[in-house]
Order: sequence, then structure tokens, then C-alpha cells
Amino acid sequence: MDLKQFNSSPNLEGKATWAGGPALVHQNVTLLECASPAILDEALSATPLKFAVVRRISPTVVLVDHARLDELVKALTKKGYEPRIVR
Amino acid sequence: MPKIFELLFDQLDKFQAASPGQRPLSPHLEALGKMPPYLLKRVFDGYSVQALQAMAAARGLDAQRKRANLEQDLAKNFYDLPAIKRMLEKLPPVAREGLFHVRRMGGLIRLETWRTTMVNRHGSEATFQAQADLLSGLLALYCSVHTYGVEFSFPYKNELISVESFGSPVYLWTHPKVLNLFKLDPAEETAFLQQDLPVPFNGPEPAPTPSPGFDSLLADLVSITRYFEQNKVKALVSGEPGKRDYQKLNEGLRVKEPGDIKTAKKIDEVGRLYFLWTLLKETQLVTLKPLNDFFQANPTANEEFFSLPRYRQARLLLGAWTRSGFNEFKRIPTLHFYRLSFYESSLPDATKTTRARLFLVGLLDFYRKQGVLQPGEWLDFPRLVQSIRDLDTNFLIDHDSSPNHFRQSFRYEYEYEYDPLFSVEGFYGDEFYSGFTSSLKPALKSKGGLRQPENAFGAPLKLSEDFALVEGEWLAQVFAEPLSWLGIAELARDASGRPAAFRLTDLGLAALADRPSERERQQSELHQQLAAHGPALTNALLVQPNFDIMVMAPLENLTLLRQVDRFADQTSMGEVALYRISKDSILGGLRNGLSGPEIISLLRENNRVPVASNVVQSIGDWAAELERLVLYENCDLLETPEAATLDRLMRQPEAARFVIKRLGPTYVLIRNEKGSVKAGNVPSDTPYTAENMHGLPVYLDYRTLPHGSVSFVSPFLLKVKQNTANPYLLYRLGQFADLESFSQNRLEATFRLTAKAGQRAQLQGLTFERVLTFLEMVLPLPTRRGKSTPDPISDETLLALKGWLGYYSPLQAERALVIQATQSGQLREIFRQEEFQAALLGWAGPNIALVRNSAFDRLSARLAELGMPVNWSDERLDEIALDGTAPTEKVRRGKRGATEESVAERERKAREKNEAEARIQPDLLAKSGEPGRLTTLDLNTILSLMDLITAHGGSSEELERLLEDLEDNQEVLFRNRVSRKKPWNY
Repeated sequence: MDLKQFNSSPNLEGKATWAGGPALVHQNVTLLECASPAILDEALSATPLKFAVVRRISPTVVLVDHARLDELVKALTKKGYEPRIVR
Repeated sequence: MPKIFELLFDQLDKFQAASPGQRPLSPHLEALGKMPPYLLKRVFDGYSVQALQAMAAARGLDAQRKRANLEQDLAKNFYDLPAIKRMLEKLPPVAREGLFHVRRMGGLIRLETWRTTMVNRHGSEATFQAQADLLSGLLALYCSVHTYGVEFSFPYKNELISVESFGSPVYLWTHPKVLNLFKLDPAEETAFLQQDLPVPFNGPEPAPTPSPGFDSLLADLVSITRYFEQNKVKALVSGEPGKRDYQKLNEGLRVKEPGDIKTAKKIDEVGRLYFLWTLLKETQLVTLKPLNDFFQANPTANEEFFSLPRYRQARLLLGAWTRSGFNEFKRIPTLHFYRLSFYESSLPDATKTTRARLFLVGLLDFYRKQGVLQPGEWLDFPRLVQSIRDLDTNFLIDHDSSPNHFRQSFRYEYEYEYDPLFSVEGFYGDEFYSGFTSSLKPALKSKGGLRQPENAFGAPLKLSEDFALVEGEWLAQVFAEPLSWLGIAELARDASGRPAAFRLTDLGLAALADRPSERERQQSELHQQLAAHGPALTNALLVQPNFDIMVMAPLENLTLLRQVDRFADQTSMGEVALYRISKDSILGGLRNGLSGPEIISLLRENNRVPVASNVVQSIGDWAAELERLVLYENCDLLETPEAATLDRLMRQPEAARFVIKRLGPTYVLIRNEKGSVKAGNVPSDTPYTAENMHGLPVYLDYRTLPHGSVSFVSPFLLKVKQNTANPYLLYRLGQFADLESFSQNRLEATFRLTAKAGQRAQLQGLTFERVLTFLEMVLPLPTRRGKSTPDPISDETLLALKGWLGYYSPLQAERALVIQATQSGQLREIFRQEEFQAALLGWAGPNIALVRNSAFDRLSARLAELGMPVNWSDERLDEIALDGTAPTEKVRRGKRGATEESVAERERKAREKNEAEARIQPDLLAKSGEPGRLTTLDLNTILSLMDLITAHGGSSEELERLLEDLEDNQEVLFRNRVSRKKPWNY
């Protein structure tokens, strides 16, 4: 799914956050990992997850907006994609 | 072990080394132990010469000297250690016991209480003798105690065995030097106390009052803690759970509250449930989160408590009960309570109740140590009450200060003295208990020839006589409810319902002794024998292929029971606890932090037979379903520029300590703790172009977006500052703005606010308020000191954002005419008529109506018919020709009922007057700019104009007219108002 149609951020996809920069520690992020790329694509197209993707770092992992976490979990659960939450 | 458990155990452990009823030393003793000679002289001044002579003789001083010399000699000798030691050695046994009781009661004891204890043991004569021995040896003296301290003033000179006071109770006091030298060997001390030992019950074998016992208590505690684990229970302001929650808690109890629990307004009105709740609070098995006022089960304390042996559990709960807020006194069925203030009532508060409970537990422990309490043996209850009275009359209710300090202090001021004619219900005088009466002591039918009212509940209870009806009933209540619920003791009643006998249970004796009970030892032996035959036989679980789980002997396997409870639904609880596994229950367990393998492992380890494969398969499948999506909250992610760097990093020995999971070639999930990422973790040979980094990582915090990272370049262009383009910041901006430029090397970007981006944000559920909150967070703070609001976004930007984000709805336009009336009621009355309503478009003010263009002709014609013609000016008539509509003339304000001509006339006069003024004072108008443009006038100019009009014979009507015009034209006055600078308001 092309996430650029929902957000104009240049960091939505791509290899590195800071090209040619140092190592980065993304602190206090909320991360969603799916068992397979197909599940992630399915969840992106079927739920409002597509609006909450901060960055897709691999075919199965996305960083999501922590400010919209509650509504995201509700929406995923409602559509049958209940996530296991690790705090 | 949690700290509270240590504290609760510790307070009971202290009884091992203390006498029953041992009170801490009185705080007054310190001062009494070092009184200067002039004070001691004052003390001896209160005694008769005969008494002083006896004291001097006992101390080996010259008893034949004058009184003044005697007082002086005694004062010098009073604290003399050899003399005190000599007196203690000479002390007869009865007096030694007397001094022991003085010490036991804290070194300061009411004379009457002391005498009651002594007379019951040794008779009156021996008590008087012991009293005289203590006084003459200067080992104890008389005093009275007040709120301000100890007093030695007496109305008459005291003898050794007689003393009178001004009304306050007389106390016996001693001092620390005597107490330090007074040594008793344990056998002697025990001998003193053994006279109060209870005696066996002589009557026929009594039947104990039925009680749920300790097993039910444990089952109910499991049920309540589970409720708090599974539900969000909010605390009321009182700090207790609400009605809905305690009703649900009651439904889950094995022993439910008798009667209708719905009638209870608060949880402290119910019995056993409130008792359980106070135990949970005291043991901190359930605690209150201070941040959000929600109760939560304390996992550490729960795990510790439910894994304790039974006797330790009972001991811990016994300790918790002594400190709890549960008040048995209020539940005594024979007492009738009256509403009196805390200071007036004898009702014991939490402190006194705790003290009394500790006294009782200590006494029972003393009896146990003396071998009086044997398992299954009934003891006489009235004798117990009597023993307690002899040991400590004040153990629950203070008999000494019954004219308590409050009433004593305010007796004259507030007339708190008992008035027999107009009595306060519940207060009967200083020698009575106040605040309650007992049905066991009925009121007299008549008193002084007057008939008592029919509703008189009971006669006043006398402090000196009715100990058994008050403190005795409290003891019965304690045995019948808390101790019985705890499985510690049992109470038997006679045929009339009076308490007759009590006994401690096997568990109660074990809890007091702090060692396993007989039953526990037998079970342990049985368990060992079974384990010798086959280890699986001792396993407590039986998992069946139909997903039922049976927990054998659940109350002996509470830890396991609670583990099963986390992923299975309980269907019954008895000798065997029955649970059922379902998809929902397993998912519930997984949501609370369990994992599929953990559940399967627990079942396999504790099942008596191998777990059926279908059960294992289903649990695995359900767990896998939840594992499809895993959400890591608040975690840290390390990103390296190249995969090779991360590979090298992962090979370091320290890496395993910090790494949770590798998520891709250049990403790894690391623990969110200090030190997980430091310079040493990143290989220093990394080819970074950012020269100033020197191998150190850059931290990008997604929770804290700094002020000033974004700024407005133009009303619709946002710029992200160099090196601050955090991916989260870019994501937030990308939600409602279009990216215009981005430099990945410099980490800077520009975003443009556009209608398209705004509509996109609106589709995603973003609102104007959320966007604004975000912008306020990232825009620079004002540079000026003292200003706390961020730099304002331009009005144009705000308006556009409001429009694009759906804050404002689209506008509707229509051609309309304005009709204005002098009185607002006129227009309202007109348009209340059904025939005019269709013409009305809206209101521009209370007396300005907007009328449809098309309906105006018909409306004006009809209004003219009704005597209200609509007038308009000539200029507006020209507009009629252009657009075919007739504009209305603004009706000028005037006096009510004024005719049209008079208004026009007045206007003409005012105009002429203004012209005349302009001729006289052209400079004034010149100062104010163009003639007629009043908006530039200031207040002084207006006042000058008005003075001028008055001076030139202007009428008051004209002046009034001018003021009205000024009122109409707000802009004239606007600049003259005192304007307050408002904060930036969107």
C-alpha cells in the first residue's frame, strides 16, 4: 500500500532515516510487528492503521503514532486484528 | 516479604516477651523521675503529719522532727537509690504484686482501678496494707491527671490509705528509678497473672455458633482479589469501593452477606464483606493507585500471601485485624446507639479498638503459654470477662476519665453537666457510659412518679457496674464474628442467647504459637507418603480433554489456583475447584502478560496425567492468533546507517543484555533503560560523516518534540529546523501539510499548508484543535520575557486551517433587507404572526430583522395596513430601481410615542445646531478631522462639544439626542475605553 497518499512525510518509507548520518536511537517509540508482510498489508488496507504509520522499517514492522494508540488498538481489535501489547 | 507483612508479624511477635495488658510507660514518668526539691516539698505538703512520719520511719529517717524538716528530709531521700532498693527488698508479696500492676499499667494508674484488681485477688484488708506499704516506702504516691499534666493539689491532707480530691480521679504514680530497680523473676510474674486464668466451662457440652471458618475466608479473599485484578474499580472519595462494586463482590463470595445488601448505603454497613475488605487493605493485597484513584491487586503481596502456610496466613490476618478499621462495637446487637459527638460518646474509636484487640490477642497468647487453652476444650466466658476487668478495666473504654477531658474542661462554659430535667439522649452523667444503652438493662417503668416513655430503649449503663454488658458484649462480639471468621476461635451461647463458653481452634492455637497446626503436619506427612509412591500423584491439576480443569484441594494449593485463575474461568469452588478453558479465557491471560508456552508448561507440570493433545493444540492456536500482531509500547529502537555496523554490534558480548529483538538489517529493538546505548556499544570505526558524533548515537525522542523545531516562514509555509527532522515530527506535519522540500543530509524540511492537505487531515479524523495543540508544542516560544504563549499564527493561517479542517461550516448567502424598529418587542410581535414568518430570514440584533427581498412588498403593504408603515430614504429608492427591491430607512431612536414629524423636526434642529457650532469653533472640528467624522474624536473633545452646546443655549433634549447618537456609534467611544491587552485568542 502506498502510504504517501495519507501522509506527506518523507520518512514514511525508505532505508535510512538520516542518510550518511550517525546511528540513531528512536526513543519512546510504539512499534507494531506482524507475523507476515501479508498480515501487515491486510491490516493497513482494512483498518485506520494506515493513518497512524510513522515509518515502515521493514515489510513486517511499522512505527505507529503513540498519541493514537488507544483508538488504534480499538480499531484493530474491532476488525479482528487484536494485537498483543508488550509494555 | 512485603514490608507490611513484616510489620504485621512483628507486632504479634512482641507479645512473646510481654505481660498481657502491658502498657507503655506513661509520658509523665520522665518528669516525675527528676522533680526538683521545691516540687517534692509541694508533693509532701499534701500529706498529713502521720503519713509523713510513717514515710520517714520506713525510709530510716528521724520521724520525730517538725513537719517542715520531715518534708525536707523526705525530699532529699526520695530519689536515693540505696534507700529505694532497701524498700523494694523489704516489700511484702502483696505489695510487690501491687507495684507490678502499677508498672504493668504504665507507671501511672487510677487508684480505683488498681484497688479493683487487688481487692479481687487479695481482699480489702490486704489491699489497704499493700497501699500503705507502697506509700510509706515512697514507692508510689497520689496525684491527679489533667490535660495540662500531673497535679498534686488535694483539698485535705492525705493519709496513707485515704485520699480525697477536688473531683478528678486519684492516681497512683511511681517513677523510673523505682521501676528500674524493681525486678521480678518470670515465675513470680506468671504467678501474679495466673490468678486471672480462665476456668473450664462446667455446663453441658455447648454447641458453637455456626461460622464459615478459615477455608471460606481464603476462598473469598481469592475471589475478591481476582475481582480487582480483572476489573477497574474506582475508589469513592471515602477511599472505599462503590455500591455497585461491593454488590458484585458479594455475588462472588462463598459466604454471602445475610439479608439484602442493596439496603446498605456504604460498604461499612455490611458485615463480613467489610471485614474482608479491611483485611485486604491492611495487608495491602489490594492497594489504591494514587494517580487515578483506582484499586489494584498487589501482585507481589498476593503471591507472597497465598504461598504462605495456613498458620502464617492466619497469623498475618490476625495481625491485620488488630489494626483494621472494622469496628465490632457498632455491631453489638444488644446496644442501642445515640448520635453524640466524638468527644461526648464512650464509643471506642479505631485507636482504642486496636489497643483492645492487641490486649486480647496478648492475653490469649499468655493463656496459651500457660497451657490453659487446649484444642477443643471449652472455657467459661463470664470468667474471661471478669479476668479482663481485673487486669485492665480501661482496655477498651476509658473508665478513668469518664468525666472526660472535653466535658471536664467545658463543663461550666457549655453546660455539659448532666441535667436530669432536660437530658441529652445518650448522655447520663459522668459515672455512666455515654452514647448507648443496652437492651439487657431495661429502663425502669417509672422514675420519680413519672412514667417512662414507651420507646425508652434501656437504662443508662453505669461504668462501675455494667462492664459485662458493654466490654463483655464486645468480647462476645469479637469471638462471634472476627475471630470466628478468621477461624481462630469459637463462641457458644446458652439457651437464652447469652455467651457461655469459648475456645480456640487448632488453627487459632497454631497462629498464636506461630507454628504449623496438627492438621497441617498430618497433611504434610500424607503428601510426602504420596510423593514417595509416585510424584504425579501429588500434582493438584486434572486437565480433561473437554477443556475442564480440576484443582484438587484448592485452598491448600492457592498459588496454583491463582495461576490457573489467570487463564481459565472458574465454574465452581468447593473441595475441588472447577475451571474451564476457552478461547476468551486464554486470550484474557495472554493480554495480561502470559504466553502460550507458559500456559502449556504450567498445565503439563501440575497435571496428574499427560495433557490431552487437543488442549495443547488449541491453546497454541489461540496464542498464535494473538501473536499475529505484537505492539511494543514505549520501546527504544536503534538504527545504524549500515547493516554491517549492526552485525558487528550484535556480535559484542554485552549486546545480548540490551537487545530484545532484531527487526531488520539496520534496526534492533533495545531495552528502554539507562545505559542500554552508550558510546561503547557503537563501534568507533563506524564511517560517520557527521564528524562531531565521534561514534555516539543521536537520540530522537518521539514523546518530546522541542519548541522551536518548526517555525512559520510565511503564513502557509512551515519550516523544520536543521537537524530536528525527527521522523515523528515529519509524520505529524505530513498529516495536515504537503511536503515542499526535504534535505535528508541536513535533516530539514519545509511543509506547505494547503486545502488539499487540510481535507486529507480531516478525512483522517484530525481536528483544528489537535493541529493547533501540535503547532503550539513545536512553534518557538516567545522571546519576550514573561510572555508564556507561543508566537501567534497569523489570522489568515488560522482562518484557513479552520476552514480546511472543518472547524467552520460552508457559508450560505441570500439577498435581504433590513428592518429596524425602535422597540425590539415590536419586531418580535410582528414576526410571531404566522403570515409574516415566511418573510423573516433572520435577526441581526434584538431590534433589527432581516427580511427576504421577494417578500418585502407584501410585508410592507400589510404592515402599513396595520398602522406600521415601513419608511425608507430617497437614496435607497434609487437602489430599488437597480435591483427591484425597496430598502428600509433606519428608524432613529426617539421618545416612545413620538410622531414622525417631531422626529424629523428634531433632526433638522440638531443639524442646524451642529452647523452653528462649527461656525463658532471651527478649530475644534478641525482638530477632530473632517466634519461629521466623530470616530476621530477623543473623550475630551466630546465633553468640550457638550459644554459648548450648553453654553450656547442648547436644550437638554438636544444634548440627550447627541448622547444617543454617540451610543449608536460605538466606534466613537471605542478608542476612549480602557482596553486591556488580551492574550492571543484563536
